[in-house]
Order: sequence, then structure tokens, then C-alpha cells
Amino acid sequence: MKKVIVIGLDGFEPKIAEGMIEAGELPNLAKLRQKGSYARLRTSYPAQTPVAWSTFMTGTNPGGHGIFDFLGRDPSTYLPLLALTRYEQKNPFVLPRVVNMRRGRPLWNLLTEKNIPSTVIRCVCTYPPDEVKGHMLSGVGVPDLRGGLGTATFYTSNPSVRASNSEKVVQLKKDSNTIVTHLIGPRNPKTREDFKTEIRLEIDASARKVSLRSDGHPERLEIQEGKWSKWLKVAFKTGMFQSVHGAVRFYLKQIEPDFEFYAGPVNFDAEAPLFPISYPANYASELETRLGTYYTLGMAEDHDGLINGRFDEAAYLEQCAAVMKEREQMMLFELERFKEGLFFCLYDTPDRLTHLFWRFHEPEHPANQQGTPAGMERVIAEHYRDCDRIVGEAMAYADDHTLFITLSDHGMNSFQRGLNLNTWLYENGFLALKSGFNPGEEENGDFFRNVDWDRTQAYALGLGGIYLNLKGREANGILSAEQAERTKDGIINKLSDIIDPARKVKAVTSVVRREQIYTGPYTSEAPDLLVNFTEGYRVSWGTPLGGIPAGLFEDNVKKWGGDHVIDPAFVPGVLFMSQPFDKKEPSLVDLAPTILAALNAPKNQAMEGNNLLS
Amino acid sequence: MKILLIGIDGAEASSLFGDERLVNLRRLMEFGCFGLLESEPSVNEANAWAYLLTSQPAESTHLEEAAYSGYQAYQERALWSQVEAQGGKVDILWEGQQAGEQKLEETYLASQARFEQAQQKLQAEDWDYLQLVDVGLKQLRARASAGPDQEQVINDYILYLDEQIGALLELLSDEALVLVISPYGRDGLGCFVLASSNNPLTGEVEDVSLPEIAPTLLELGGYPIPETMQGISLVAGKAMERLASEDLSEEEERLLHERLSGLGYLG
Repeated sequence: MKKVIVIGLDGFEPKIAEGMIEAGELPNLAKLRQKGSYARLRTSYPAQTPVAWSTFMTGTNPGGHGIFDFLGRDPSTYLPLLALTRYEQKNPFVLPRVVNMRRGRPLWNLLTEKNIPSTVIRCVCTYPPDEVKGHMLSGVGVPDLRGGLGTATFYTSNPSVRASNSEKVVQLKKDSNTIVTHLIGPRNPKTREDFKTEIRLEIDASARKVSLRSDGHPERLEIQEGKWSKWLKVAFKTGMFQSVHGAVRFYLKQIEPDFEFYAGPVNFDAEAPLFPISYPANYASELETRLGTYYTLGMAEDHDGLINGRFDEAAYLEQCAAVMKEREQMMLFELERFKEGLFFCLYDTPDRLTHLFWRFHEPEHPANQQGTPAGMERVIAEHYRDCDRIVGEAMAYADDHTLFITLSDHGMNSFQRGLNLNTWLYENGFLALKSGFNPGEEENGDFFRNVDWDRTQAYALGLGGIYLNLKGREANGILSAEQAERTKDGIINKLSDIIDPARKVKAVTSVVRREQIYTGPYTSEAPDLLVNFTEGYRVSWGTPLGGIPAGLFEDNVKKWGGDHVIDPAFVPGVLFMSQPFDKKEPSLVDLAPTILAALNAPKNQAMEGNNLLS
Repeated sequence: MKILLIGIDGAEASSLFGDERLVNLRRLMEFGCFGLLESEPSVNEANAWAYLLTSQPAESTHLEEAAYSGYQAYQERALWSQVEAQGGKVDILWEGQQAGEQKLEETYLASQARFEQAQQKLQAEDWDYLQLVDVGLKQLRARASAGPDQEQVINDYILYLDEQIGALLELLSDEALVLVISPYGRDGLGCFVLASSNNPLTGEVEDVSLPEIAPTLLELGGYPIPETMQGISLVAGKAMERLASEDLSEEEERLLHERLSGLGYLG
């Protein structure tokens, strides 16, 4: 083959897709299935986006690429950290450097060695980008200007509003039609204050709009009530002659009775990103020149704005549509000039949208207790139709010398109940708190604040991992190797049978040791145990960052009502290929060898899967 | 604390501070402090280096021509002599004034050789004071044969200097302080950037005069300031300590929360 086109649809759920194909609602995917093959795709272990896409690109299990979860931990402090990237700074005089913690050799590197070009748009775990022959635009992993995964700002004249997850709140005084406030930028590491840039909001109540004036571009930005703005490019002066550049969109929630206004996370400016987000370095800027300003933030869909109630589902869908549209424009721009090699484009929105709208398919979902807006049960299906349309557009660029692939990294399932894993460890004697502290106390907070490490054998962190407090590995490790084995046995035996008393069902299908499922040079970085949850269950909200809430089980009442961080057997992805393949249960590890073989490039020894077309 | 002094002869603030391409200088400015050097009637191109390095006015040292006769002329009075007196190892990479006009390529080659020497010294780690003065910028400006692209030539050279400075910075440890300085620019004003982990000064520092620099370096470096130095250290009487570890821990937690926020799976 001369060309391989891969369209990734993150989180595209096979049960939904299959039903819609049968009903004739996804004609392009149906055509692809008809022409070639379709199968459910075995996902990674665990079934998490960065793990799965890293497995896709390297053809290895996570032990071969080192990404086991969105979160890892520092054994010297027990603190969680983002597992996808690390910032290194040799000394205080040099600029920090971002390091991609996804190791292994992605297939596009192997193609580059063979002088075969690749265009890779927004794949997860490509920040900073790999140096390919061709072009790469980084995806999930790219932070906002504050260094997080998306911190927004909510402006309000309502004094009772408090900041929720992943946001700052700016209180405003609305005593005239002009409000002078500021946009929050990056943090000054020396003074620990935020860099800010002034913005003036001129309210026109009769026209139901606000004019935002700033030193940015455009100087004047109009925002209609209930609508998103266009992009504002801003610069935060960080020194006498220094600036950091960003791009931001706003949503005007309401003008009265309280004035409420929302600024999304400030994205890296594609023309002058703080850290590299493309290869070649000017590719991000080239895309902006040709297509206009776009979201550079890895998690571009503004789920926290919806979850925090800063805007409603309609506004969220409008924002998601903008993300999809710009991705589609990038895809079409590149496909127009795509002549040979690999073309890959990932759409993240299916995953985010399905997380947030899943609950509307389950009337009994705890998150629906306050009622649901009308019409939301059609959203996922409409989105899947849009994805099908996009796949059809891409298929138009496939000829007889093209292998065309559409896949998802994992599926989606219900998330109705959460298990407080650290609380379970506490109640079963594996985790201890300092004298006088109990689970659920506010002082405990996150980050294992009041854990007594001298008496703790194991702790849970991330989205389903348990680490042992191992002597010689953890800072205050107490377990010898022999003791660790007994602890693992104890946890496996007890946790595997845990029953949710409220629903009288087993919450966990199994607990496995890392050595049972991982091989490769990075296995030692994995959690010691992986918890596989049954459908409807996952770790509670309080678990991933080291919280120890009261009680074992809790309802999930958040809008994030669907999830896939459960037993991978319940959340396979989809695989459509334009050529027939026989394998009944293809796996993510098979894709890299298949693509390489199609382009006459050899796979490397680390790749575990096989060419599906051989 | 080791002292690295990088001199850029003839540079002016607008070039060093005003060019966003100079990422390494910007990093130093962000981490440390920077500013203009007040002009003084007695300071000129010829005696500025001596004034800087001895913190004594030229008329008292008679070092008007010493800048180009070699550093040995004021070795005993220069700030590095304090380092030597404490048993420190001193390396001075000093380029005297070249006779005649140099070609562009020769200017680059001479400069590269100097910077490579400096890199070798830093890599050996056997140094306590390293001073490097690059005269290329001044030489380029003085070229009578400069063509219409002279401004581009100058800008390119400044960018090259920033890259060379960056390469030196990569070789440092936390226990170093860095001064990038032009004691006398084309416009008659000097400018500086000073960075170290124990420097309490941040951002732009105003009202700085040339003789204050040497005592400042000595104080930050932990060396005694001789009474012969007439300038007062810019950090005299200021605390030069890191924040207490308790503050960092709470700060780290807050930053960690913020860094991980936005990941919908965490709630």
C-alpha cells in the first residue's frame, strides 16, 4: 500500500455503533464494514485513553511504553503526578524542558527511519511531539498556560459563588455598565502570584451582549448572552520585555440579575507556544495561519464548565462542535495534500461527550436525581452520526492503494457507583491513619495527608491502581518482599469478592498483579495491583488523588455519568478496516504491525501483535 | 557559590532585553534580576571594564587603558582576586583588542573558540570563578566595510550569543551565580542580568551603578568584599534564603491540584 489513513474516534462504543449501523444510521461505517471488516477491538489494560493510544502507537503492552494510568506517583513523596509528561530543569538558569513519559518506539518513528512520511494530528501522548518525517500536532497532554489540564475562570457578581473543580472565581462589582477586571494567566514562580492582563467588559443589556476590550487581539470582542465568543489572543507580561502568549474563548452566561461570565482555560498560542506542541516547530503556527486559531489544549472539550454548572448542556455541545469542526478542518487540509505514508487524525470529542451524556440513557442513574433537560437522550446518537459523516469525508481520499482504518481505543459504560478504595484498604487493615484521624474528615483532604506510613501496607492512587508501601522503594516503606506477597494475596482475596450492600452485586470482577498482565522494561513503574471493576462501578471521585472519604460506596451524582476505567473486557473499542481480516478478537497491539506492514516497513521486536492482513 | 561572568562588550539594553528570540537571556531575566547601569561622566568605553571588575573609579586605578592591555594589569584589585584568596580556582578568558578589521567569519570563529574553552572549563567542574568577555559585537559594529545588511548581521550575532550563553547555562549546577553584563553600551549605558538561587532581587532593578556589581557578586558568592571597593553590594542587608520548606509543601499541594485539575476522571 502506498497510503494508510487512520481516523481515531476516542471512546467510540461498539454497542451503540453496532445498533446504529444495523438501523442504517451510520452509512459510512456500514460501507467500511461491508467492504472490509469490522470487529470489536480488545483494549489496553487498563482501559484508559493515554494507555490505549500508547499501546496503539507502540504495539506493546503498557510495560513496554510506561503509561499505566493518567496518574502516577512519586514514591519518595507518595504524591500523585501526571503520568504523561514530566518537566525537567537541569538547573534554575535554563528553561524547563517537557519530557514525554510515553516511552517505547511509536510506529511513526519506525516509518521515519524508512523515510516514509507521517502526518499525525492530535494523538494522545505526543506532547512534546516526536520528530517525524512529516508533521505532528500534539494532543492530550498539552497543558493550558497555567500548566494544568484546563483551569477556567468564572466571573460573577453573585458573592455567594465559590470556586469548584478546576476553576478560579473572580468576584465582580456590577455597579455600572463597565466592569474592569482581569484575565488570569500563568503563575509567577518567584512571587507565586498570577500574571494577569486587564479586560474591560462593557455591558449592553438591551442588546444582551458584552464588548470585551483588552490589549489583546482583537481589541474588541463581542459576546452575545448565551453564546461563546470567538478567540481572543492575549499576552501576559511576565517581565520588562517578556510575554507569554495565549488564546482564550469566553461564554456570556447571563447579564442579569447577576452578571455571570466564563473564560475557558487559556490555551497555548499556536503561533508562540510556551513548549513545543508540533513538529516541525512551526507546524502549529502554519495550521493557524491556514485554518484560524484553534484549541491547543489537550483536553479541549470544556467538561468542567458543564460539571460546575457554569453553562448548560447546549453550550457544552456548541463548544464541542467547535472542537470537532476545527479538527475536521485540519483533517481535510492535510488529506488534500496527503500523497503517501501514514495519515492519522484523532477525534477526542466522542469520548468526552459520551462520558457526560451517558446518564441520559439511564433514567435510574443517580446523577439524574435532580431531573434532566429534555432531548438529551438523542445527543450521543447525533454525535455518532456526525462522526460517521467525518469518516465518510476521509474515506473519499482513500483509493485502491490506501488502507483505511477507523478505530476507537476503548468503549464506554455506566458509572453509577464509586468505591472508596483507600477507605476499603483502611477498613481492612491495609492502610492506617495517624492517631485521632478517621476517614471522611475534612482535614484528611487529598494526597494521603494523615496517613500513618509506618503502619500502612498499601495505598490506592489513580484510576484503579494499588501500590504497596514497599521497603526500599517507597520513602517510608515497611514491607519486605515476602510481606508484600502476603499483602497482595490478602488484598486480592478480600477485594475480589466485595459486594455493594446497596445493590447486592459484586463491584469488582478481579484484582490482578501487575506481573500477570505486563511485560517489558517499564513494568516496575506500574501499580502493584490493578482493580477491575464491574459494569456500573469504578473508583470513587475521592480516590485518585489519595483521599480517604467516609464509607465504602457512594452514588455518582456528577454529570460525568459514563466511564470506561473498569474491567477492560467490558469496554472494547471498535475496529473498521477497508480490507478484510480474519482475526476474531483483534487487539490494539495489532494495529502498529498492520500499518507498518501495509507500508512495507518492518515492525520492531518489541511489538507484540501481528499484522491483521497477513 | 561559583561565579560565571559573561561579558558582552558593547551590547546595549535594547538589544539584549528587547529581543524575544533570546530565550536564554530571557530565562535569566525571569529567574534573576536585570537592569540598566547608570551612566557616569567618568566612565567611558576604555575604563568601563576596569571600573566594573575593581569597583574603583578609573582615575584611582589608572586603568584607563587596562581594558585592552590584559587583565593582569589589575589582577590584585579585581573581584576574582578575592576568590583566589579563598583558595578558589579562577579562569579568565580575556580577549584583547584585535588590530585591524576582522572579517565576519573570523569574528565568529574567535568567539566560538572562546565559548568552547568556557564550556570545557565548566564541564571539568574544577572552577570557582570563570570570566569570559566576547568582543564580537563591538568588532562587528566597528567594521568600516559593513554593508546594507549590517543590522541583520548584528541581530544574528546577538542570537548566536544567546545560543552560546544557553550552552554554558546547561553546564551549571544550582550552586552558581551568573552575570551577563555589558558595562558600556553603544548608547553609553551599560546593562546586566544577574541570576542565582540566593539572589533576593527579582525583576528589573533600577538605579544600579557599575561599581555596585563587583561587591554584589562577591556577597552572593560568599566572598569577602575588600574595603578598596567603593560600590555597595545591591544585596547588602537582604535575606538570601529560600522559602521555608513548610511553605513549599502547601504550595506544592496547591500546584499539584491545579496541575491535575481539568482531568475529568478525577472529579
